Amino acid sequence: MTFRPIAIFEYIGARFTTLLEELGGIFSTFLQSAGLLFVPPFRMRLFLKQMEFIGVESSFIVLLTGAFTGMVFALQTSYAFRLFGAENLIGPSVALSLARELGPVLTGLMVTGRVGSAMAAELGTMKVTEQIDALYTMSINPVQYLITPRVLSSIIMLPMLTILFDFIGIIGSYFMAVFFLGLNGNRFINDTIYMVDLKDVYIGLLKAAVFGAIIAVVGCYKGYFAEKGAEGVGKAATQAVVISSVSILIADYFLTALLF
Amino acid sequence: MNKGISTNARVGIFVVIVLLLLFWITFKISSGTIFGRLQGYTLTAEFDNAQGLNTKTGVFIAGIKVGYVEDIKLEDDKALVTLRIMPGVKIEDNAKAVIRTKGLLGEKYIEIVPGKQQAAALKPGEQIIFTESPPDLEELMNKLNGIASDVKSVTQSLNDVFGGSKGENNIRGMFDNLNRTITHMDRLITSTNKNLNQTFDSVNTFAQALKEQGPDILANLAQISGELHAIIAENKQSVNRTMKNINQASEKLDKTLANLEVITGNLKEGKGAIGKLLSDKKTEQQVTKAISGLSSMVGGTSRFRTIISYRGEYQFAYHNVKSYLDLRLQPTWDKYYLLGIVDDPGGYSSTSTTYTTVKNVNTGTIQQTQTVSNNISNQLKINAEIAKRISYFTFRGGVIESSGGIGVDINAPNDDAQLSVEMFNFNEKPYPELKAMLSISILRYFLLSGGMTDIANRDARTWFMGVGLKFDDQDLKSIFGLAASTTYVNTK
Amino acid sequence: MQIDIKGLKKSFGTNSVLNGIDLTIEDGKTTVIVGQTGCGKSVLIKHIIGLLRPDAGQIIVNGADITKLKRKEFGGIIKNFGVLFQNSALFDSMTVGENVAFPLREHTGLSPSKIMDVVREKLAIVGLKGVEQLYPAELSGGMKKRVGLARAIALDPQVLIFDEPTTGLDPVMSDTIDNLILNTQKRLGVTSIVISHDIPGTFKIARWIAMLYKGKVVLYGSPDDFRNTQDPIVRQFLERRAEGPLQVEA
Repeated sequence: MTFRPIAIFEYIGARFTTLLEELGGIFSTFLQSAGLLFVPPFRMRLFLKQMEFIGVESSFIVLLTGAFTGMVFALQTSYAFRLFGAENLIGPSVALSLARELGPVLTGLMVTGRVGSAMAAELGTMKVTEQIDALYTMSINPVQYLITPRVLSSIIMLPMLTILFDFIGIIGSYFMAVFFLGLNGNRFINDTIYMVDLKDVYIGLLKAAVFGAIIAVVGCYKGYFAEKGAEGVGKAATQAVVISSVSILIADYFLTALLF
Repeated sequence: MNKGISTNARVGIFVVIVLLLLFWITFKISSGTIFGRLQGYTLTAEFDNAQGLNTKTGVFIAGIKVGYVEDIKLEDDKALVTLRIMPGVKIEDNAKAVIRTKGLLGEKYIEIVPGKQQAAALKPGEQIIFTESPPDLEELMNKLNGIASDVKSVTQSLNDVFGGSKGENNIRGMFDNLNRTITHMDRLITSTNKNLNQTFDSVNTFAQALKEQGPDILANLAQISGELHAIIAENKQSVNRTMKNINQASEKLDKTLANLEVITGNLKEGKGAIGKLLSDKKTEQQVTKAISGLSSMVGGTSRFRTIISYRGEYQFAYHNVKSYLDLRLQPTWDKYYLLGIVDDPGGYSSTSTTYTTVKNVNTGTIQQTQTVSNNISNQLKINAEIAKRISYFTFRGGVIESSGGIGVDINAPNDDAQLSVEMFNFNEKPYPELKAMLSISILRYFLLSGGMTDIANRDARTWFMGVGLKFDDQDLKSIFGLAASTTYVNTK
Repeated sequence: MQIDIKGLKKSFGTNSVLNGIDLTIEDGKTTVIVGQTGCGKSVLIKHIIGLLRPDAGQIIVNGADITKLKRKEFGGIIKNFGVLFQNSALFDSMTVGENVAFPLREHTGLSPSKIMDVVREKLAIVGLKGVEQLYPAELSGGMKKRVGLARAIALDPQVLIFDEPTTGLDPVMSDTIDNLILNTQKRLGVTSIVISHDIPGTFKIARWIAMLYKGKVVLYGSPDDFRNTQDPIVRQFLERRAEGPLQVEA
């Protein structure tokens, strides 16, 4: 086989085209699902079910990670701040980090792992076993029936889970600071409240909503366009997690740059 | 799903719990607000400088937080800060608001220094009249301003002295004197042996001692004279000549000083730093303070140095002396600015052609004769250069002898010797003036130099030899001391 | 409801699947479409139910070309179609009862109890009873097909489409399903389209048979026409021989 230099560019071009198609597909999935939100019929039951799945059933894992994140963060920052005798900054730095970054991002990543993959797998299975076609032949718009509730619920539930994460994380850091590092509890709370702005919390929640949209849209898109049987479903689930996670981190950068 | 609690209920419970948490967090963070209504009351305070203050910056009385900064606005070039004070905290109308710094990280807070107890309490919305802005930076700036104005007055005086044709004459006179002094010194140096070193050391010691321990002067003088006696005894003949030379030199120096005093006459009454320089101790202190202040301001590693140097170069081809007076401002070790004046006896050359028309009476013809004369006249030139040092090389450029020029210096490891090559005056002659010079500094204050100038122009080139003096700001104290001691010795 | 397919063409990339299909599905009768795997049967069906749009050609139902219809308008037509998918395509997350009730809930204003009556009735038609609370995962392949059929007929469609209804079933179960298709057809009088490569079953249930080969109809006729044809392609297919003009794609 002779080496053709142009093959490199062909490869790059093909990958780039695929990437653009993928992005376009994800974006159009989002637009469709969002548009269909305002078209009857409204299936409240589906929304509730997704809210339960995304929100209620993720709360345990979010509480667990949140508590440990807060504790570890308090422990780690205490090493650094003790060098400067600035222990009063432990609470604020944990709270600010949680509210602005760690809360939304870690919640997003946890939910991606749990919910994003599940969505891709579920819709992927429905796709390869023709359930989606069946919906279609029953004159039901599969995007409206399957994707819209997931996307909306995810957008609503991610900020809620982030509140849980922030809260339990601060509780965890308080616990660590007061019982293990011997800081004054009242002081800890006051310093934290003094340094954290409502804006920090609310922008964090706005981020979480964006992450929620990313998780659901990517998961649904990957599942909805799954191909080639069980293998394709597995691939869709994996890709959904990878793409959502990376997208969340990239989106986080831009949101931070834009909003703060 | 059918485990007793329905989907609806579970989602409902979840949402209610989360919203309660959000409400609680919101309430806690916006402490002081209940449903958007603010607690406490506001006071205002006007600061010259609110740097480091933010909204939410704490307000403390006796180390206890009593409120926070609610708003910072610019009003009439001042910072109008609105403080929200907790309910029940009274602040007297003669209290003082001070911006202070907390901790290593430089966090700012406002401290209210309470006024007299019997004073009336400020009402909501009123202003705290007495304030104090962050002192550190302000103070620093004031200091710097003081130094800058000191420096400015010095340069102003210099400008007054050197500016204009009168100034030029003065300088020329000064140069002449300096030249003569140098010539004398030159002879002095050549005619003495190493004993002179001892003498100089002694004089130095003496000068320092004189400056530092006024009352002990006499004792030191005794020591010096003892030493001089010893020298004289040892080396009677040459010392005799030396003494004569020293006498002559100091006479010249005296004249020079007198001349300088004439110059200072041009200065504004009592304002000119140079005028006071030689007569007024206070000015001297001011100048040294300004200079040492400047150098200590800039700090240890990058000490600001000021170097004043004078150099006379004897040009063998023209039998005249070219003089240089340079002020070198060196903010960091690898960079300096050089300002200087050059007195060049052969600096200005012009060619004039005279046509003479004579009518020959006999023949009736008109005869025209042409006379070409080359005039060389004295000229005062300016040096203004920027230099950048990289390892042993210093590259400089700017105005050299009133024309554009560049140069490079190669320094010996301890800066005792320097080889310089410079090129300037690109317009007047067939080739630019190229000058190569080797200079060696001896005995710290003295410079010996030699080289060739105007190398490229075959008929203008000349060898030269030169001597010079060099002081930096650290030497200035001892220089002034030396000057004083010289005067002292003479009057005695 | 008669369906006229005219000059239908479809290709995916460079792979041309349908090369001009002309076929009429007779109203109220069962038409079986046979052909090799990959001959375009499924693609043809997907065009009829609107999952795919043709590159060229028409599908005329009730005088309207459904390939030109907008999604909304098409929604009205598709409600008259009931489809039994190859793998039944039952919703895993719902019970059997909910699966059958699903189209009723979505498209009729019936009360829940009324819906339950209809569900029981439809399940009875396919011969099932008392399975409403089971999940599809708990059912055998044959039972799934029946539930799928019950769901397909829930809205009393005028056209029933069966996509390989007996694939993956044992011969006895296959025959049972064939009987079910026959009975349903007779009972409801619907137009049926069956995709199959089960030859005995085809002869049993078909009124008309169409054979597709390389994206075209090679033979359309009654079962007797097929039994008597001398067309080598059809003969090879019917006699289940590997040797002949039909080639298995590697």
